[in-house]
Amino acid sequence: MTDEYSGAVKEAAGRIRATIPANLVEKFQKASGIKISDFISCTPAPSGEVCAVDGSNVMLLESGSLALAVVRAAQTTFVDMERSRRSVTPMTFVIIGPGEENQDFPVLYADCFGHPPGKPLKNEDITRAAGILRDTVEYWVTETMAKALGTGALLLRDGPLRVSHESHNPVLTRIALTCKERGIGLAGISKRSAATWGGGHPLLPAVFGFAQVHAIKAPWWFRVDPAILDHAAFPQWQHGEMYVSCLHPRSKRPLKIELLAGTRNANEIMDRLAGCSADGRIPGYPYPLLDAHRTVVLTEEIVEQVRGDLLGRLAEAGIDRQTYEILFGDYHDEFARY
Amino acid sequence: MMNLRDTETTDNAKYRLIGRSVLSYRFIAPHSETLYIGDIKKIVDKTKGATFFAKITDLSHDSNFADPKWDTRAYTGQFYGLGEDVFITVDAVPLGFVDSKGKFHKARTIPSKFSTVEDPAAEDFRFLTGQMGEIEVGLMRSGQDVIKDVAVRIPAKVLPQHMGIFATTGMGKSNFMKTFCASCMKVQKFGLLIVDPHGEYVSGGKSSTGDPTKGLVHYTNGKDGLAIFTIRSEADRKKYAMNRLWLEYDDFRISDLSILHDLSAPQYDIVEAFSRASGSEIIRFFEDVDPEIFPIKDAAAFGIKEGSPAWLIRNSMGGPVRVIKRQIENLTKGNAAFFRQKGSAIPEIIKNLHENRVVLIDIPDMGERSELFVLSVITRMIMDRHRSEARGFGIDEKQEASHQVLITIEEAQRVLASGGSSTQIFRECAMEGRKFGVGLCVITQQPKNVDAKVLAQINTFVVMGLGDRGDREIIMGSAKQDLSKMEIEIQTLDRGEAIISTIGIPFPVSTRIHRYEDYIATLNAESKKNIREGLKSNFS
Repeated sequence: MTDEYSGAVKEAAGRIRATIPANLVEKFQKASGIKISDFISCTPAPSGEVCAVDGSNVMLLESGSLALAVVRAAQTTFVDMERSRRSVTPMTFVIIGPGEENQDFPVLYADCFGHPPGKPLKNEDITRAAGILRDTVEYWVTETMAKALGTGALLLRDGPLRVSHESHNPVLTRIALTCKERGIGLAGISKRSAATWGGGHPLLPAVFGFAQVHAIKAPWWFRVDPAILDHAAFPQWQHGEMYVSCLHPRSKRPLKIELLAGTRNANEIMDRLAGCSADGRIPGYPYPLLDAHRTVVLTEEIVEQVRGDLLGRLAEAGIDRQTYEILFGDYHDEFARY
Repeated sequence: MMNLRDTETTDNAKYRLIGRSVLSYRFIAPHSETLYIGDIKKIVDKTKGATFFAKITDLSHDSNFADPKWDTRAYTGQFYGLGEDVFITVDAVPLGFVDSKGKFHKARTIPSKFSTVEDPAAEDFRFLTGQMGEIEVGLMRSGQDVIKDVAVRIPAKVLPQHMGIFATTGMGKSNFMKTFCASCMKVQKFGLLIVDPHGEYVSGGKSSTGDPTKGLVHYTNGKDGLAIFTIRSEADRKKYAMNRLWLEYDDFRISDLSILHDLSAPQYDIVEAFSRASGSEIIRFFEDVDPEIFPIKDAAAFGIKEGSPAWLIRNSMGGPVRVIKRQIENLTKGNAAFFRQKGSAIPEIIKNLHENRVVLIDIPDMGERSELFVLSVITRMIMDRHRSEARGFGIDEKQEASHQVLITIEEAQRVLASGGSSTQIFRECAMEGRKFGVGLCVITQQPKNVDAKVLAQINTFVVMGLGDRGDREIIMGSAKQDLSKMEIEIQTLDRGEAIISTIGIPFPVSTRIHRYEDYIATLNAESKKNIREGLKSNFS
């Protein structure tokens, strides 16, 4: 190991350490004024009807000028511990590029919501564009389920209650309205959070560390005061209020949970979430979301099959292997052989 | 318009064939399903138009989760969504298949992938009815249940090729034998000889579990198929129409001693010397002889003629002669209840056997030596008779025995253990009896102590639960059908259950043996043959 390399590793670790100092909890307590009494204990309750929605996208082919992705979304609904319904959207192929604006976004959006999007989707960031195309079907499933679930149900979304594209804002607004009208609890559950405080300290380790230092026994939840956070991008697209929660005594990490602004029954929702987060495989994570993920995920096997089908059709369409290689071939595949 | 399709309203991943080879089937079942080792399943192959049958040989828990330790992570006992992803993997062994024309074949092909696995109904086994034989012993079993209307019947024609009954104590061996006897009495396809030193076959007694049992005489509808030879009192004999058992001295051969006693080499020399002498001659000689005169240096001085019994053993020492004398005295005195100078029931016994009756030799309280003595004498005489009948066939005549007799040997390891030459008659019977229509019904708790060469001659195996692994391995290695994948089932057989493997039935059949008392109650309830049947009813 050279001194130069060793120094680079040390510096990288040091920069991360700077965001999570040894006295993180102490600093957080001082900066936020957090108290033990801010942590509310959960009593796991029968979860009743819980629906979880998740989406998946995979890049099938990428060339310099365009990329072909496949997207789909799924929902799975449980009544207490029994799954009552599970459904999935068809696999939808979307092309990102060529050109500045995405051609498939308005088609997909109109297909889902019956009208064109308010704002076009840029192709410049392929990964982001694929994510927004996936969000489109995911929001459609969420809206569909908000209309279909029974009163008092919980509707869980994998991710925040904040849109990443302006065109989705009216959709999420409609979903929030429908849920409020129908007495459905809407929760956006994130495994990670970009939220920071005090100029770059991550929120989740600070809250979890505080609970550990003060021996606060899980399950618990904590409502985050937006004032303690560094900043919020596009606050106009934010529909939820932020909570941090640890839903099981054996949970290894906390979750960021967003509930609709003005939610009055946060306590009840958290109790029900804790009630469906005792699955032995991933304690502390609401099982319906795991099930939605397992339903929707485009596994390697699926992707291989789709890619094979696609190759067949490209050959039928007259694109020979050499042209295909020129377009979509990746030298990294060749490199990997050596 | 975007749409949302429901998935898995019914989980079709379960109960469909996913096995990979001709000899090993596999499918999965819901984790909550109750399945048993030995359950028979039907695999419907719609592509080939065939129905395959398979027997469950193993059950194991399995899941679709990538984490192999998902179920041992100790955080909580609660798991959601076990329905699809956690299941029971079922391994099954093929039994064979029925083609679109209803013909049964051995499993030489493989069902199409994802053929459905179903529970068979009684009519699915219709093909078996034609292949089953005549001697009913029970009902076909599938796991814990019996398949009603599918009676297990052993083919009579394979029984001269010997039958083995293997069971530890308390597994229902006696019940099986009595049920077997009742069926033999009913169909009368061959003669069956049983020597019973405990007196339990005649009128019952108590089972090894202490329950009262009935005997063969209680099967009144089948009494025509039964002949009992007994040493019981006349009053008892009259009550159940039993015959008096007698063996005469000439029925005895000196070689019978070797079955009853462990003979030394000098004693065996004496036995060899008298191998051609008649029983009465031997007994008379040893009654009178003074062992102290042996060895005889000068035969003429003692007035011993050349060729006389004493001359034959003139070189023997006094000790061995004394031992043989004592053994013969014990034999005659100890068996005086049925062993006399003149007058034998053996011709009558053989006649009844040849008339396809069950012949029961009932010698209560007589002990093991008496049992073996009677058995060896009768066996030898049956073999002699059948041999001479076979010799009587002309060169162009069909060399097939006209009479079929099955001789039962309880605790067969006593006379069929490996290495013993003293039990020659039973060995001969095992090795060449089937040529003359004489089969052995070998009953033992310890098959591993029976000569492997004898086991190799047995074509019908009735396995009724063997706790000893060595015993199971011997049986699995000797049976004509592959029992190796049924080891767990053999190990878990309950009282009254058996696996029957015979060359007459296409696969090893799990059987619930009829309870004898219930079986004869059914048989007795059947209408009797009209006594006038076959008689002329007019004067024309």
